Amino acid sequence: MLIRVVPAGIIRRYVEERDWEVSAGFTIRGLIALLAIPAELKLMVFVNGKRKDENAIIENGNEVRLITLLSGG
Amino acid sequence: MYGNTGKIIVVDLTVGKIEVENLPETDYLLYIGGSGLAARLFWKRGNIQADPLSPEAMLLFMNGPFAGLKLSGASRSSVAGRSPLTGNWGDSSCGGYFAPELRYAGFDGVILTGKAAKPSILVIEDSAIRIESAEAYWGKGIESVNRSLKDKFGKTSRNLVIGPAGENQVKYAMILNEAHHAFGRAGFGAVMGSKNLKAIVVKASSKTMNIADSEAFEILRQELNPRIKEALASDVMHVNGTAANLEGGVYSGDVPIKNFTSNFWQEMAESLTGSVLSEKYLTHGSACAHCAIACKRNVAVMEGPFAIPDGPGPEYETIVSLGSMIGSMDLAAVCKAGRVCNDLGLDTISTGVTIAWAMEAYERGDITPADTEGIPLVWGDMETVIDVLIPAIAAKTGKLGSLLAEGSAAAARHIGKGSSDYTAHSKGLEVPAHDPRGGGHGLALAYAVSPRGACHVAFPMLFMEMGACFYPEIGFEYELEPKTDQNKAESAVIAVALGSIENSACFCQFADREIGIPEWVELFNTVAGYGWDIDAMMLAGKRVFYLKRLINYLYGRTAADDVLTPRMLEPARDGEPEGIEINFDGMKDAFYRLMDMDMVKGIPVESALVACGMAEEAGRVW
Repeated sequence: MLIRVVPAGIIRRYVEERDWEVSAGFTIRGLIALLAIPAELKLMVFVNGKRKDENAIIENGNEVRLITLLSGG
Repeated sequence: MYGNTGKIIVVDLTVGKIEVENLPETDYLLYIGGSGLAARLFWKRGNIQADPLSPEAMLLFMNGPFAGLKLSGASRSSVAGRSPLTGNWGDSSCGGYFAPELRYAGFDGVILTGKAAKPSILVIEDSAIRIESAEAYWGKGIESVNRSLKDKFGKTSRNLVIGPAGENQVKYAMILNEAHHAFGRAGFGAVMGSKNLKAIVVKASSKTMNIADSEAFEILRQELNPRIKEALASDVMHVNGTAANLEGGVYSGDVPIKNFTSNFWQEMAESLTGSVLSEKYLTHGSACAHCAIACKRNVAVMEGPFAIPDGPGPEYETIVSLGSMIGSMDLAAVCKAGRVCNDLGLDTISTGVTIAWAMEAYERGDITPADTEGIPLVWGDMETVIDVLIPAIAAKTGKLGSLLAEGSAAAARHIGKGSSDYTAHSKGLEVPAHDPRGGGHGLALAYAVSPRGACHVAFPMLFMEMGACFYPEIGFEYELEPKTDQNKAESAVIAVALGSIENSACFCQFADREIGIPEWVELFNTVAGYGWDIDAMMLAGKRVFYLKRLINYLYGRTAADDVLTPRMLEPARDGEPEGIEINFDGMKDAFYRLMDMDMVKGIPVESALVACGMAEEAGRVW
């Protein structure tokens, strides 16, 4: 199935915005591992605009937006 | 003494008397340095009740024990005293180049009282200290004065300068080092202005320091510097500055918008985030002394209505405070607004938040065109902000300039009509560019209990809620969920001690994320010979926090003042934090109990003070 991964902020350094082909039943956790985002970055994941945890299953056509809380002062 | 020099300069500007004093080592061992040591000296010898803008007021500049080391993040210093903006304890932290130069010249700090008869500069050239006339500079912007001082005293001299806002005693006037690095918060530029002190110049002929165990420190330094430089966060900020992840902050709801009325603005996120600054306006990065992170920005806007030449550029706080906070997503305008604030000497945070409040008040009709003498206050109207409002505030001209120069809390009290409800401050210090409703509920607690008022760097709560901290040696092993109250009070107990250590050591909180607790102890011991273990270090941090709370108590600040304004606690109207309530009272009550603080007075109970070795201090408040 096809999903759209949309990085925000500094996640753009590690991931480009594009479509990904993933298998059915793929979870957020699996996606994060696939994208190889540094483990130090505490992620917030939004699927179609709604916040989801790592156990959530991604579905065909989902837009998955990845952000991190890292912030300057 | 090691690390520290043990010497401070004491100046009475009224009579022009300058003395060098030796401080006892116990002061450092108990209160560390920086704002902690400043609090100690203020408590012992300051005229605490003096109006902050009176000659009797004491103004303290204080280094930490690490100033001058070739260690990333160690070049900061503190300014402290009674804040003219809040009327209670204030302190502010600045990076750059002043702290190391003062250390090399042989001093840990400067204490000033009195008022010079005429505009003056304090000049420190090693042990030769004098007061010179500043009449040629009075009335001039910080940029030109910085250049003139460099011409006169040499490029290697370092300076602190106030602008016209400080001269006019605007309540949130700030002080700049090298026309770039700011003692931004709490209005100490106004205190300098009230003393007719335009600038302090320091120049050292050699750059040596006395270190307790130079071999051990060098091993530690060789370990820490690369780790700080190569840390992911450091690299991110090196490339795209402190606003590198502004876009992410919009999605989390951390970035405040239009006087904290909104927590999501997608187009703004894409317009103001750090990579856009890098692409469009960045000319080069720069750094504080000896720091490899080099998060500072320098920008030029080549064309358009907000064109500015190459020079200091905005950091995250400025980008938000003079951008989304006032309804603008025009990054060029932010660059110019920040530059104008810098030159005039205005804290960009308080300026932006005060203007934001005024814009909402105008929209509601609580401020009328008669109040503004016809000046419109419209969200995102950056021409008016830059060309009319900021200059009027700095000059305190017109009804509006005079009103806003007092800060949002005082301005709202003056306007009335319930307008205080939608200010954003704690104890009169405007909230910075992190909305606790999105950034983390623990930050709401941190803002409220911070002695100087709403401050995101008094304690590392912001970083704790980001997941950037792990300190098992002192009990911080929590994985905090930002938009809850879980473990926030417990985290705050650790945060207030650690934050007090950071601000007394005057260490940059970007760099020190890479320093573990045992390494902190090792730094204090190898550099300054404090002979601490972890418990002694944490106790010193707690003691600093307690003392600042006691000073505030003498100003009549109690538990009732550890609050945020109603605007800050109403559930967010949109974005990720929409509708979520902050359990503020629950977190505050829990924090007070854990910190042995009296629920009414807001100060530590007598036994808690005695346990910290503060029996004498306890006698003054209990």
